[in-house]
Amino acid sequence: MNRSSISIFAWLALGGMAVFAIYYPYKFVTGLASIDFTGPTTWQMFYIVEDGIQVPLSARIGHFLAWVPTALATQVSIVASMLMVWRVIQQSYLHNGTIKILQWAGGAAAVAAFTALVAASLEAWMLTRFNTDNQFPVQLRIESGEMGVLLAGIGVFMLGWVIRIALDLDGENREIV
Amino acid sequence: MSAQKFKSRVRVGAIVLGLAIFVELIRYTITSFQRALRFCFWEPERWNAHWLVDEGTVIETGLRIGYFTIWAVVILASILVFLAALKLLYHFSKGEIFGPEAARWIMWVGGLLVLALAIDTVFMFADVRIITSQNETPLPLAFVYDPSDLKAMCLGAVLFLFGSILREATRIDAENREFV
Repeated sequence: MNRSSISIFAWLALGGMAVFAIYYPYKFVTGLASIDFTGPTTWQMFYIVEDGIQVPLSARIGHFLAWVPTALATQVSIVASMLMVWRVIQQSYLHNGTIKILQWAGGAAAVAAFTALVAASLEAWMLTRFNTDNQFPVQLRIESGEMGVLLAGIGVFMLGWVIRIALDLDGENREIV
Repeated sequence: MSAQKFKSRVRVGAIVLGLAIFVELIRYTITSFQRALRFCFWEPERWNAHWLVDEGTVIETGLRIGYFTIWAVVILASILVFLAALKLLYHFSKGEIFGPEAARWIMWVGGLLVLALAIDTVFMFADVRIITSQNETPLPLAFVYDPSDLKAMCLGAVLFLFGSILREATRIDAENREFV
């Protein structure tokens, strides 16, 4: 792929990421707010919750907060990804700053995926805590999408680390020569 | 850190991550194909019992084959991403880190990741339409929002572009060395 194709790809990616950077927090806040605060306090939209159970405010706040780390880490990852793409558009060369941004994008995505897996594992327990009969235990939920993001995030973070050290060693070798 | 120590650490890291990716590749392949095969062929009543499908609707075999083929393409595209990642880690474990081959494979992993998730997103548009196509009034095409797919797509784009920066850097480095 030549430089102009890469530049077009970068602009398209930046546009997509900008839309996602706005839509993701909007969807997160409105989606969870309707479950925990603005919707009915009985959580009857979930089939595993018994009819007529009133969920206390503290439990609803807890449910909301369980998903906040995922949202924050995702937002950090998207912003770092946008900065990375911007550097490519500006034809920035390989240096520590670029690599640090790469590591932020990967590391934050890995944290987002890990916290999402934790929150998803707690979800059924949180929702059915106030049921009289069918209370679900905390159960490990492995979702392919989040597992993929976790592995990709760890991989990108490690890649940044490896390239950074490789560059440092290369620089040291040249100084010696 | 000495160069030797660094290389051995990278080797260990690449092997550990490679094993994790290999395990996930096996798990993903088995569970994804199992799910698609169950829905389409092994337990055909699953499709008929889907909450969006009208009661008593007959699902034709041709439609089942078509639906399975579509998802097989998505699954195979994802498998290619895993394989490209394993190839990249293989280069790292051999100590080929700052070179054109590694840069090329980083671009492949990122590009394939974006492509696989783009195919997945497009097919998700049509998913409900196909499932309900035998209903009296089939449901229209609909955008299905999956944040984990979009997050992975961002990472794929970042990897692809980082690979392009690395490729440029290795090219300049090679030119400089030739000049010296």
